[in-house]
Amino acid sequence: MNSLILAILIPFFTALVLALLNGYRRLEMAVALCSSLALTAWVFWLLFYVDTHGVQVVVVGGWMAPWGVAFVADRLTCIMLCLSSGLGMLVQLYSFWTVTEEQQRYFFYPLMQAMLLGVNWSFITGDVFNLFVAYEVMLMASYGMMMVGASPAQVRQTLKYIAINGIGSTLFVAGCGVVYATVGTLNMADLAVRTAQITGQRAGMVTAASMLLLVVFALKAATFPLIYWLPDSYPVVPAGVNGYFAGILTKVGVYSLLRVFVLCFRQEGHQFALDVLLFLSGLTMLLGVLGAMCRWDIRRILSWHIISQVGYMVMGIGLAGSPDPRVVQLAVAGTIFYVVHHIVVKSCLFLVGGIAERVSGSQHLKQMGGILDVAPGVGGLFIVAALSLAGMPPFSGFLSKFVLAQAGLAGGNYVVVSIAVITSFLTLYSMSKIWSYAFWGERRHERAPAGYRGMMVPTAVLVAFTIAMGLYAQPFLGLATRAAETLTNPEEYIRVVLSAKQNRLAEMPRPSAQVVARAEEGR
Amino acid sequence: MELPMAAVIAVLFAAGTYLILRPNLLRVVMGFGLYSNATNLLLITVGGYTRDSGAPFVGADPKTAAGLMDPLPPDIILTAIVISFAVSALMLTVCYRVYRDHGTDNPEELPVDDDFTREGELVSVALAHGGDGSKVAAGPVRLLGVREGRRGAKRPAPKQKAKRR
Repeated sequence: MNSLILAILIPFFTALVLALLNGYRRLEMAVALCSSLALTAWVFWLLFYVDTHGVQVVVVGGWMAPWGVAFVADRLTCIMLCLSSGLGMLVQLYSFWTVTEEQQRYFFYPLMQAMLLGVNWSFITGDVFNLFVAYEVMLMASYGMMMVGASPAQVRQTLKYIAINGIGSTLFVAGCGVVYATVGTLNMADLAVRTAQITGQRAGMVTAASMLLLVVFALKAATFPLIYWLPDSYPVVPAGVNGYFAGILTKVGVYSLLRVFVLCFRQEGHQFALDVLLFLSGLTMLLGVLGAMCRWDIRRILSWHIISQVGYMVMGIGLAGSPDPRVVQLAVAGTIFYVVHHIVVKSCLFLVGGIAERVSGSQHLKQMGGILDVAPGVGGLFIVAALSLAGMPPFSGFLSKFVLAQAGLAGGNYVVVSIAVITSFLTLYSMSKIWSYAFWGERRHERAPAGYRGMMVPTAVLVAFTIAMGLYAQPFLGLATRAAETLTNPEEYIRVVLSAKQNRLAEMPRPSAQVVARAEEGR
Repeated sequence: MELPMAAVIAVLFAAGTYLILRPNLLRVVMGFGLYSNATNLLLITVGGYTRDSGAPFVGADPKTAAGLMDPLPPDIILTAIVISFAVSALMLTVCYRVYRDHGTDNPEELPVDDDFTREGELVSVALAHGGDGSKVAAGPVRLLGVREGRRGAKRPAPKQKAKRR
């Protein structure tokens, strides 16, 4: 299915067109919105198609899969594509109210599309090195996005972000090199086939090589020792887009961990990497929530919560190291469900936070106060999202935590499950702090709140989604379970990718074939 | 050939780490450059580089397969070089901008944003009161930093800061 690649071509061409349209404010907004709508509709159709017809693959340029670059869409890819494209659309809609003309002149919408391009690309690629290139596209766009407006705070925080991600990227290339040296391939399906046959001392080498990639992905996902770049840099991202950053960018790291460490590395003793992740996840959860509890800046509180939530997802991935295949299945399904829940709820909270800042004119909790008096609707949106984040029963947060805890208890990991439960309570405390300081209490000033009603539309869509995921969970859980099956039993994935049909281009003589022919003539 | 290469790579990585940990923004960029060069050398080594290796696709002798080198690592290196070049260029620009904003290139002297981004520096606060940017000019917030001369005027001259290295 060649049209698979539209998931990255649409944002790519839109970014180019929007860069040319820079200065035509209304036209730019209209093109950005239409393109995102088209992209979202397309990826949702793709999800439906892949769910019924199985894994789809495109080999670029007709080079066969283990050698050329393959773009693969399985269910997990499609779920992530839907979330990233749909959220991108909502965030752009939200930005119509928050982004000033001056900021827009800093190529806001082209950068947004470029970020969509990078994110979708990293989801759809079936090759580890290509994943690196996708990461770089995504990161470059996010550097630019973080500096839109170029205030001193933004520039100095972006510098840190660039530096730490630059180091991460070089480690990623080094990791690709070492994995290529030990396994001999970088194609994900081929990696899964080859590593499954590796035992003994070489398996240890492959595990060591994979640890380099683990560091890189853990850095991107903000897992325990590598978290401190996040809560400083995310608060300077313009309101609205920070919802996209919070929801998607760290989850690209989680997705890569899931893809590479559950699907690709299957050598003897590969559980070591997952055990390391399980150990780190408990610390990530606890440290993240403790960091959030002592902050007073609403954006910083929410940013620290990203870290503690990433801990839950990494815990799910770590639980996949269990010897019992049913536990593995449940843990991976729970992680996928959690990723969906988290992306929706976390970005929703950032969007509500943006509205609250706009209504109260501050982002410091002690100066906000009394939002409920002037904007009760915003309070309604916040309380649903906050309770869902903390894991209260009717919403998606409860179910996703429940599935993960179930997997953890079935695997006998009582310590990490109890940390997860404690973290959940502390999250509730932190959310009630925002509620009582920002929404309750007296208004701190008499200024009339700025217009915010339009911004509530995309936020309300996300809130509706988390309620639907909680009350009508079975279809979502079923999809997550089927996606987990493709990951944990990758026979279908491997078969489809490695036997991808050659298209006409592939039948043309290849450069290497020409060289060989010329050499033979010479002889 | 692998052992000397490994030694060179190790030295480059060590030097890069040292530079990145220096309290000087320019050295961080240089450290990043050393990191990417070390990575590229690592990839060459991975490709099975020996004394007899020829160019990729061709080999030492085009008529036989002798000295044929794996073409994938050079391919990866080319991509990595382009990307690290772009990232270093961007990093240098941002470093210069930080230097112009704060009058220092020592990251330890930069303002600390530990709990609350400093008053008047955050874009969102400006947005909260105007949306269209109309009231921004009157307030303490400056949305766009590109103002030649104005910001730099109050800062100490760069020469005084050069001592701390």
